[in-house]
Amino acid sequence: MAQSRRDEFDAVALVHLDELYRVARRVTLDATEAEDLVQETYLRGWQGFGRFERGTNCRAWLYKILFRTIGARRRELLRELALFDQEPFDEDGVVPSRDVEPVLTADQLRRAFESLPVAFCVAIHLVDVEGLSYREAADAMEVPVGTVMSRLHRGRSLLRRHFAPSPALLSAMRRRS
Amino acid sequence: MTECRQIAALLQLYADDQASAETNASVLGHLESCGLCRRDLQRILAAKRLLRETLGSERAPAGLRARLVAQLEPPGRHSIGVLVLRWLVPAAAAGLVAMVLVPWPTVASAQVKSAVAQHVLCALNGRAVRMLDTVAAQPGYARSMPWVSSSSSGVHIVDAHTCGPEHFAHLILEDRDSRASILVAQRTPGSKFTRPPDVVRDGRFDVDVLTTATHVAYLVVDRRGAAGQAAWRKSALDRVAQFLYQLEGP
Repeated sequence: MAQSRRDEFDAVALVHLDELYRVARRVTLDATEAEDLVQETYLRGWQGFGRFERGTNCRAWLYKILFRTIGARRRELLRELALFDQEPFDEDGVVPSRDVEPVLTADQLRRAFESLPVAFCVAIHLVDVEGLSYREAADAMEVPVGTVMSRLHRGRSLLRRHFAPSPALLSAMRRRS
Repeated sequence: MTECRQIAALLQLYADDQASAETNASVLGHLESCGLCRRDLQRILAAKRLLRETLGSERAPAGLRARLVAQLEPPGRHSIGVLVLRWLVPAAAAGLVAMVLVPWPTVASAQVKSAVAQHVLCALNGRAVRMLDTVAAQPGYARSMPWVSSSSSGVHIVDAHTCGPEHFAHLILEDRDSRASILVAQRTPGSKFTRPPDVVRDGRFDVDVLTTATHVAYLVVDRRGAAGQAAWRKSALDRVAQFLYQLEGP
């Protein structure tokens, strides 16, 4: 019985190890701390696996444990995650022009991404990299769906600004065309 | 153009696959006739793809997976632990084995059992010696060190590796009469978990590991019986440390 439960845990929970690790790294920016967080997440998950309802979304359940573990260990990270939710957002200058097709390299993207506030970074990572729905991301972070959408919008806007052409380049291109 | 503005607000929802069926239909209807919005959508999708490809390929370290697998073992499944008990009880009774554990975490009994099991099996069964031939082919031993089988002063390193559960570095040393099996582990400040310390620095054994490790365990097998074992045990760590300093060289 114990072995079949363990096999089930492998099949439905351990398969998400890589993505939980990526998210933990995104939140902490530290490989060792990310390992600790994920290890603790899985140990908690294993301890509570008896209460996990078969057939429900184990991935979402693990994400919730991960973010609660983050909150328990690093309260300041939770505050940082919520830092910008109440701030007004200035859209000026963050929407790229349709006139040019910015060329993005992976390195540029990674650097730009890591320069974002962690709240935006994590929301984009959950949705764009790991493929969570807005609802799943909201449940994981235990925030309203609207907050996820706001973080996504702000993060993506800031991310695009990194690649928006300078006004000088834009006018030069208009002259050429 | 007004329609373009309305659609632009929905494109990201559409690209995220979060729009309703009705919204999807109106976006698709507009895209059929609008090249600019089609290009915007392509740009959004390309950005999502690039993010996924750039940031989604990182994998959890193999050590983390191995530690988890070891820690998630259900109770009663430590077949290797049973082997250890079968080994240890008669061996201890015969005065052949001395074991010192200083100070292993009490919270991780499964982890310690697993480590001790490997410890004993490697040291007593000569498993590590046999593994020298195929060391590179063993995933759990992939980090075996280049100084394996170095020898000096009558003591030689039989093997050094990180153990299967990836919690410890495991050193096996022996001289003419005895074999010592030493486990070292490190717990960094603020972490709840132990990890194998870096036992190699610049391609050489880092002797500091014996003094800086937060957890050290050693086991001595004496081939000469109880009397000789007591004497060996008394000086075992000193001799090992001395030997390793010699190995390090001037």
